[in-house]
Amino acid sequence: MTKKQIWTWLLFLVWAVFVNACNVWIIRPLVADFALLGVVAIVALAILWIISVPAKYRRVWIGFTIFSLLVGDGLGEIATKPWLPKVALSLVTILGLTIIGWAFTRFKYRYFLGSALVLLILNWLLPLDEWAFLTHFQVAYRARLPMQNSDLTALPLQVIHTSHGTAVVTLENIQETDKQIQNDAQAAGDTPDSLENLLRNAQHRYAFVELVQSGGHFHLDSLPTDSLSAVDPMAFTASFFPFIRGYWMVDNGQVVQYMAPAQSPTVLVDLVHNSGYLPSLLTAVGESTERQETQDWQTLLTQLKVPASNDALHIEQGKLKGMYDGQPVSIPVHAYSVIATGSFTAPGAHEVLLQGVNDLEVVSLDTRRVVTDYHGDTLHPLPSDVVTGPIDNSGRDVIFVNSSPAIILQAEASGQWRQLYQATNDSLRFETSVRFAGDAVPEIITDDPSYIRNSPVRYLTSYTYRDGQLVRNWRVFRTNLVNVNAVQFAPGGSQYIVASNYGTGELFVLKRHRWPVVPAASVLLGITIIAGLWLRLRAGRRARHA
Amino acid sequence: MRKYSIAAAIWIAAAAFVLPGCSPAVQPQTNQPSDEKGVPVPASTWDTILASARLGSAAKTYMVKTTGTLIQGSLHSSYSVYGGVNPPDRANFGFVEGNDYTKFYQQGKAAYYYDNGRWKQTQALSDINPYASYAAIIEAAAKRGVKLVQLKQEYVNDEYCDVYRAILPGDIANVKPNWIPDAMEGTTGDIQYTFYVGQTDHYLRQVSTVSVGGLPHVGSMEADVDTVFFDMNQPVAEVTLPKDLVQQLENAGN
Repeated sequence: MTKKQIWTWLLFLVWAVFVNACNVWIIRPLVADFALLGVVAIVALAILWIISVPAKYRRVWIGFTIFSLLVGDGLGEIATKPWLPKVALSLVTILGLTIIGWAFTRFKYRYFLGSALVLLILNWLLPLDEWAFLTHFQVAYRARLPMQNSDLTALPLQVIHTSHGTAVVTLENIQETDKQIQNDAQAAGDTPDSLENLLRNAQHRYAFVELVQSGGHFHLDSLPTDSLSAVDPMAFTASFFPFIRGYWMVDNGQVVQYMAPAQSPTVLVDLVHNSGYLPSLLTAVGESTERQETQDWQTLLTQLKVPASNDALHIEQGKLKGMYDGQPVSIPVHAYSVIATGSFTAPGAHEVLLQGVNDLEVVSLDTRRVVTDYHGDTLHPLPSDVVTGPIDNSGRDVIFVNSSPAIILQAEASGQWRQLYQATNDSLRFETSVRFAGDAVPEIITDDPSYIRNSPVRYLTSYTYRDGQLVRNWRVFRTNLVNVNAVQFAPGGSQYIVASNYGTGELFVLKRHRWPVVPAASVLLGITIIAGLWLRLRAGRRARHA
Repeated sequence: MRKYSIAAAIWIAAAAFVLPGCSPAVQPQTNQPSDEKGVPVPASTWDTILASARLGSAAKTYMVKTTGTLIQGSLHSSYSVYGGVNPPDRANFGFVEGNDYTKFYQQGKAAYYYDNGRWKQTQALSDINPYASYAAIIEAAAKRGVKLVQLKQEYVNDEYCDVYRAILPGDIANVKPNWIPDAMEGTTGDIQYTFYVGQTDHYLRQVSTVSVGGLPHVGSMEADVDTVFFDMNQPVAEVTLPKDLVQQLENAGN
């Protein structure tokens, strides 16, 4: 290969990757954030770029660019398919587009094929659609766990802290062959329902797995049974509660969850017959399902000889119970659930945020009493979607309430709660607040719709709270992220974002980086266009002088 | 050359206006509670609403549809019911709960439900009439003199309705069903009820509720439910034997 050939190859390969990166980092965000204005900007950008390509190369270069974008887009689309269709569709995409590209440009097809192969490899390392993360994050780990949409809408995630360290627990669909089902069915017989339960739920059974970090790497493991005491079963049934419930069983030493309708037809008919009282009947349905689930979970723990621990703060018979500072806690409260611990009314205070019926309560562990409470409006009840965290360096935590619109509340010991912020649209959702390495103030992580378009399509966005306003730090143009958690896997270690994808079994572990990816890509694109224009101008002058 | 530039300009302008059509567009918000303050109406208006529910409960046939969203944490679950009622003891319902579908059919003292591809016998109810439960709760609210406001009229199914909203205190709207064996720990707070009364036929056409329940271990659960009544005294709402039940019972006889 001559030097010129090497340079040509490099030019084609780098350009194929670069235009795809520009597509994900510049073009798509322009439309997502600025709607019509974004499209106009893209049209202007495209015209400018087309003009900048010297006329001699225009056919080949524009053809090749469109080819690269189509291949990238196609492969990104194919990336989520099972392997056989993936291989077949990739082949069809690459060969088909190469032929079309060649037919249009009449240029050496090996450059087309070569670039497509490079895109194929890159897409295999990280699917093109996930490149959106790269503007602000490294994808430290990603996995696609088997999951059926009819069972779960997204992978449920719960962060647990045990003697083994910090882990994120989730569910994974057990891939059963007909033979395994036959074998399991032979062994099922310890209760009258066990055979029917097993067969009705074959292919719909889920195993508990945990995401752990060891030696700087992430991997998924089956959940050790002694960690089960730290697991909250309700976190794994919330998405279908209360009409469908979770069942648990031990299969080959592994805890398995499956789902089935929770209520008998008699209950369902009563809900119609007495539908005037439906709101309170639905609470009853919830309690009935919760009782069955709690009882089954306790039975499971007993069966596995996992010591049930009552040390964690919880609500029992109208009292906040648990252990704090080596002392048992028992404080009368109105609430039903523990949301979080933190310093809500004063820096350094040890407090617990609780939620009741349309009501939030702050309990002090120092003085062992209810400090203050907040009642929601009946017309806009407080949702159970509440997260807490710091928004500044005051040492106090605030309360993010994801009502529509979402609000930020600051609890005050005086009883007068302050509303620090109200979202300007109904779709903003607060996910968590986190302080990444190098942050001067904590970042508020949200899922938020675009600037100027009132569309509920939401993207992962970071804000800083300043003077009553949220100021945007960055936005990752990746939508459909749910169950977003900020997790520190090792004490003093890096903060990671762990999230699952709505509708698929995808799981992402993201680590913040601070390279100026988007500015760098924009500058490079700008330089390319200016260089092209300058070349054309110079060639034009020469032609006139000649 | 000039001609080409004009053509190009037109093409680009057209593209700029057509392409946005391909981008995701504004979508209407759903399930948002109304922000209307409403106009207070005298307590006697309860009588109108009560009359509309009683009119419904006296209907020979009607259809009912309920859709509920249960919000717990960041994800929602849902359930829905669709069916016909011929009081006092004839009804069929279809239930969708998550990814599961069941059916119920009753005539007289015979009742069946459909589960996993098969009809099974179940307990019959002595009188099925959803309207009656609304009449009962409206009567209780009227007796208590609960404040009522009127919102702007809305179109439900096939007619305009007068819309009234009331916040019913938990003690009126709370019942303990007999399928919960012992005392309940969970409670439901004050409930927002919105009643839709037909302007021409004067039936209670729709009831929407927004409520929050507190549950042990789980925490709070919001329930947004719409119940719509339609086809009152229409032949369409007449309950007939499900074909697959007939088939199943015929086969069982052989």
